[in-house]
Amino acid sequence: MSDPAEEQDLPAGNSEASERNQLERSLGRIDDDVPYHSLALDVDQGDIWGKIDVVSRRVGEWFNPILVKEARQSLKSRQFVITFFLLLLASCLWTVLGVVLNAPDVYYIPTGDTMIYGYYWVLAVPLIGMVPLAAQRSLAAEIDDHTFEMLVITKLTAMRIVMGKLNSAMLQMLIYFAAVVPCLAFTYLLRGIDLLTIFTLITILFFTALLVTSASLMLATLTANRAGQTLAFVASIAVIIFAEIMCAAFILGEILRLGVKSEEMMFTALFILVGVSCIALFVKVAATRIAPVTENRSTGLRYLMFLQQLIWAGVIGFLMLWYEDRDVVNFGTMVLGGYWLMMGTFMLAESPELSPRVQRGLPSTFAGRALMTWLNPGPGTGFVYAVATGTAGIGVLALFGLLVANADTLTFGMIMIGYLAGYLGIVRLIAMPLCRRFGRSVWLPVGALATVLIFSLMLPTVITVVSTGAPGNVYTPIEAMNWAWTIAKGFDRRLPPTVAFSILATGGLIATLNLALLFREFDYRRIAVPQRVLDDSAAE
Amino acid sequence: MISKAPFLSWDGPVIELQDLCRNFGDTRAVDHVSFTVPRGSVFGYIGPNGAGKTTSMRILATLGLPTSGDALVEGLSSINDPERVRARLGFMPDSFGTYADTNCAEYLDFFARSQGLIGRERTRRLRWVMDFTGMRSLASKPVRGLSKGMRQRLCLGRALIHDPAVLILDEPAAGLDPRARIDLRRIIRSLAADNKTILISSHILTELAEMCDRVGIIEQGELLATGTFDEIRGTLRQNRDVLIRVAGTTEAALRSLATFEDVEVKSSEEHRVHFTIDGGDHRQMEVLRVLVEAGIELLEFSSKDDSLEDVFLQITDGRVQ
Ligand SMILES: Nc1ncnc2c1ncn2[C@@H]1O[C@H](COP(=O)(O)OP(=O)(O)OP(=O)(O)O)[C@@H](O)[C@H]1O
Ligand SMILES: [Mg+2]
Repeated sequence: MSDPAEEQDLPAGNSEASERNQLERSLGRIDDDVPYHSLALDVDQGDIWGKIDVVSRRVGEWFNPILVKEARQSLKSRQFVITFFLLLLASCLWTVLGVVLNAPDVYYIPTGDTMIYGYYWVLAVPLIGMVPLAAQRSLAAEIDDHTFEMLVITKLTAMRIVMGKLNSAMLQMLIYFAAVVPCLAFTYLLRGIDLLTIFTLITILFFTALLVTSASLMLATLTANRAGQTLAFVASIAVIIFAEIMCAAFILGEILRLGVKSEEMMFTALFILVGVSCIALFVKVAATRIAPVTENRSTGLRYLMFLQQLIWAGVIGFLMLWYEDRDVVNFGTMVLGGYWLMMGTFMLAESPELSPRVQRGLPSTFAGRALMTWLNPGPGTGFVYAVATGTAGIGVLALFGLLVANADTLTFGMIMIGYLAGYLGIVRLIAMPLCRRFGRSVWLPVGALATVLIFSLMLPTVITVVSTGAPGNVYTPIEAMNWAWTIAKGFDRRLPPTVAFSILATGGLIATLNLALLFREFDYRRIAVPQRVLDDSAAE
Repeated sequence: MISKAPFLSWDGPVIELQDLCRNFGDTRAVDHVSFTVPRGSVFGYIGPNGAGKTTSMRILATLGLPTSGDALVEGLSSINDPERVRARLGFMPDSFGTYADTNCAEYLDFFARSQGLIGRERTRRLRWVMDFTGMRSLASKPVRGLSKGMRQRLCLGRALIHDPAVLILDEPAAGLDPRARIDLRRIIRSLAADNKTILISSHILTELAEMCDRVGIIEQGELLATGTFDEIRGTLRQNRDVLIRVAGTTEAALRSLATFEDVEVKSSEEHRVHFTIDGGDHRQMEVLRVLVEAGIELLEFSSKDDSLEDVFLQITDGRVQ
């Protein structure tokens, strides 16, 4: 190894010899009599099995290392083996039980449609319930046991680590699914259920499981301390229960009862569309959480949020035209308002200090600076980005609503924009000094948001009680602060336009006040990449 | 292998800490530490518990952020270019976790894959690492069942798997038996001979003395001294204790010693004189020459050579946390 240039020209065998020399120099004794572990040996491609080995190894190189490792681990893991056999047992039991209960009918009446209810649960419990929890535990345990640090300093990128965990979860899903496939085939043979229904059921289950798993993985990366991990675990369980209920309601209540018609197909397709964008967002959040702190952890997410808004607007527009119903639009704008309020609050926790590494990637042209500054990390840019993008999305949807309704969607859009700008502005005004005092933590703005939302629900009632002596049950202009009541009114189309205007105006005022406080975040300019880094990337 | 050539083309210091600081609340874990390590040399990082060794090594290994200052590996910042630094770095932390249901070979294979090694390259590195760390016969053992010393070997193997140019070893000798310590020393020297740059921490000075080219002594986050052992000893011990034993009476010897201004006689017994010289090797030789030229029958002339522990205690004297 003395001269690297010399070594380059030598075939691999020779450099092995030189490593061997080095070994003998340093150790003087090598356990030559002990055979190497098979993983350390090249495959001998002599016979047909050797050839298969070569091919399978070559295929193996393409897989994510984490997937390879976890597949090996789970083959030896007792928990996995037990779960798998319990699953087999459950499906066998239900098969026997179902056949016995339907005893004579089985032979001449289609019973597949009743059998499938049991198989649904046999599949839904492990897929949506256990796989996400296992994935979350596996990531949280790595962080807990400090194996994670050894992982992040390898060549694996943060994204590959998260994808590796997600891939292992998918592998588990496939294995569980494989155990139930014979039962599903059996159900089909019993008649009473068509292939399309079975296929839709499986698709929805898989996507829900994937969605919940990515959410659980994201939750696992949010905090590293014990209390936070417990909280994340509880949150995952809540998500899982919610997903189980929604999935059961849709599959058992709609699809299995009514069959798959155009409406069900459309809902499945839209669910997958929105689901994929959520999976992308969750995975990206998880990856940014574990990426180096000096990296730009925000711009990529901001692009994804924008993409998600586009998908959402498309979905809502489609549904609105399908049902010709303005409530769909109002629902869509309400979700957008909540979405940007939440995302904006998260972005308020970002640091206004940009690392040199981030500054290297900032836009440099004038046009770039004018348009893209809002994508730079930082609480101020995040505020503007959330309010501006949210306003654009809500505005477009509300205008689009004019196709099926009169101006009510506009009124509703105005209150959502006003609330978004106003509440996010107030949260920012509260969180800014707090963050400066106690250090940056996502809990400060989130806490501020929760406080503001609860406070604004109660304040109008308190004022009414103090001034009139009794809580009023009539909507007065002062209730404009009460977002829940106002939104309900908006849905009922009984909101005076003046209230909507004043909400919009107040929100605009608070947002303008915030704009004045943006300070130095806009002073950041692109800095040059150090020469050493340029040289190094040229050498790669 | 082609990627190695540009790595070696960097001829500045391979490891460089620039005025590194890290505070945890009021604790100054690392306080304005700067040093450099050239290619192919071994730098020993010595300090008592809580001195800030682990903290600064983790920053260098891209696992922590400094409050201020920078840590560079081959001129690249661990803070702003962690990916580039990671590619050339092998890090062995002082404590590390392991995976359940995994054996040593699978563990190493996993990290080899994670480092992007494929095909024959990977199997070759695996064989080399297993031999180099003496893990060949342990390959099928479950990682969770390894003893402390075996785990240290495995961890070293993991750090070496991608043949990094720089190694950061946080107390690699902790928990090793004497034989394994000797092995470790040989391994370190062999890696250094192979042009690897190594930063190694320990509390045990004698251990580092034999494998390090230079050492840095750190306490309460401050780097108190850097240099070779002899340099550190030289700068520190300006006056040294000398003990002589003479055949006859001590009278003549005392008379000769009195001619030196900087010699201070501590005690004199029947055949022995204990005195201190204000100076290093040079002064000591001069005193000896004068005594011999004066015809004094010297049976013994010994300067008390401080053990490394003494150096350590002396430097860190009075500042133990
Ligand atoms: N995560 C942390 N939070 C708070 N304080 C910390 C943290 N990590 C280290 N410290 C403090 O920083 C100081 C330096 O710790 P460090 O682990 O670097 O010492 P060390 O030299 O490695 O000690 P040892 O020889 O015991 O391993 C200690 O006072 C320690 O309490
Ligand atoms: Mg330590």
